[in-house]
Amino acid sequence: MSVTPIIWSDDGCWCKIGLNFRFTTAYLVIKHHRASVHYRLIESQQPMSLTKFRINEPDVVSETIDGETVAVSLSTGTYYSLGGAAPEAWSLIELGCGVEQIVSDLTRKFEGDHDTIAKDTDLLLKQLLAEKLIVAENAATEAAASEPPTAAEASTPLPYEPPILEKFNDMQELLLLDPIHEVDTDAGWPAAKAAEV
Amino acid sequence: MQKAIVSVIIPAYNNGCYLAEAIDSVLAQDYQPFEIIVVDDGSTDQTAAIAQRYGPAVTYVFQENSGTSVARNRGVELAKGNMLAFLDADDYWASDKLSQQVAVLSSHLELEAVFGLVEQFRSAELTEIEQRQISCPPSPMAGYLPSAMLITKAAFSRIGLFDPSKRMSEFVDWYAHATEAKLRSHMLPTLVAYRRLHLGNKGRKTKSNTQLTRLLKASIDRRRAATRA
Repeated sequence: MSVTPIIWSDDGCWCKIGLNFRFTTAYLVIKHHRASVHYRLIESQQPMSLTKFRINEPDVVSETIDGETVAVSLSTGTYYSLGGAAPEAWSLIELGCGVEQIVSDLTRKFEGDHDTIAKDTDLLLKQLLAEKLIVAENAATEAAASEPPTAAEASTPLPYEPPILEKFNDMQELLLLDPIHEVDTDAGWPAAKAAEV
Repeated sequence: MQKAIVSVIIPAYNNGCYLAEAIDSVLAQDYQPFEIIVVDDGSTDQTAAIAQRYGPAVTYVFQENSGTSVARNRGVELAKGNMLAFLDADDYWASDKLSQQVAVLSSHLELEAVFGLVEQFRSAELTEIEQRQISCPPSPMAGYLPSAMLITKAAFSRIGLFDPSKRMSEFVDWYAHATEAKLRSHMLPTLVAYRRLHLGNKGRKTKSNTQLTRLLKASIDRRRAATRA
């Protein structure tokens, strides 16, 4: 692991640290406030190809209905519609796939050319990350990465439609109230929280 | 203009331990006239006894367990007032809830419904561990909840009943319909209700939220269809 510091402190210097975890680089800014140190991830420049993703559960609930995925962020009250090729990508994310797996599956499933699909997928993943609907994980840390979910399918490719992500804020205040967003007792969060106290 | 009569509809399902607090908060309102209708949704606890203790001040009806939607709809059916208020049996009202909201609807005839802020609290009987498991927003929030709404009966008829097939998120579904039907509503910046957070709240677990995604999908579809039409 290599570290490249640029210092920021109260007199105006920046401290930028690049952490190289194998092939992945994440840039962190460290801000000094008297004794405390705050870490804030300002830019993630890790190559997407070496990242796998998961749905940001339990904050995000989603379901694919009639070829359209509806995802709700319970912490923001925002909900989303995923259309075109996006529901297919979403189901691959649910399976814990990395970007290459997603692109190759989509290329097999749809008629579009590889480069277009790769470009669209990259953009979609960035949008989903920005909206915190999905979370990036370093594939290298997951030694037992799941097998590619689908081997070559013999079925006829479908016409390719670029992924669409629509965002809705119109029910925001209401969704923040109902359902009550709380700790999922099955996920071990309360235990972790209790341990902090 | 004649004073509005408010029908207060309280659906109750095994919330006998909280029901008296809810009813008392209605009886303590600084607005009259109102009627209280408790619709017992097949409770097996002391709900019936508690509701009936109030005598003629409370209209008590029992139904086989059919869900909150059906219970609220039953209350609407029985309501004699020209304004409808809902109060969940585990919540309670601020003492000026009705007076604030009736004043708004009576002076702004273009409005059909009025909401207000809701303060959420963890129910006192919870153990310390249970309290930690429930996230409770620290400050009052815009109360898009039945317990915080007052609506004219005419507007409610225009929007329609609660969907009996929705056992959860039925108010999100109703409100989606109301938004699509351009319900003219106002959110008061003042506190009108207190919402109890306890182990029995519906829809707490995120895993059981498929009804939520489905009703949102249905709402998106309806709006797309309306745009195309």
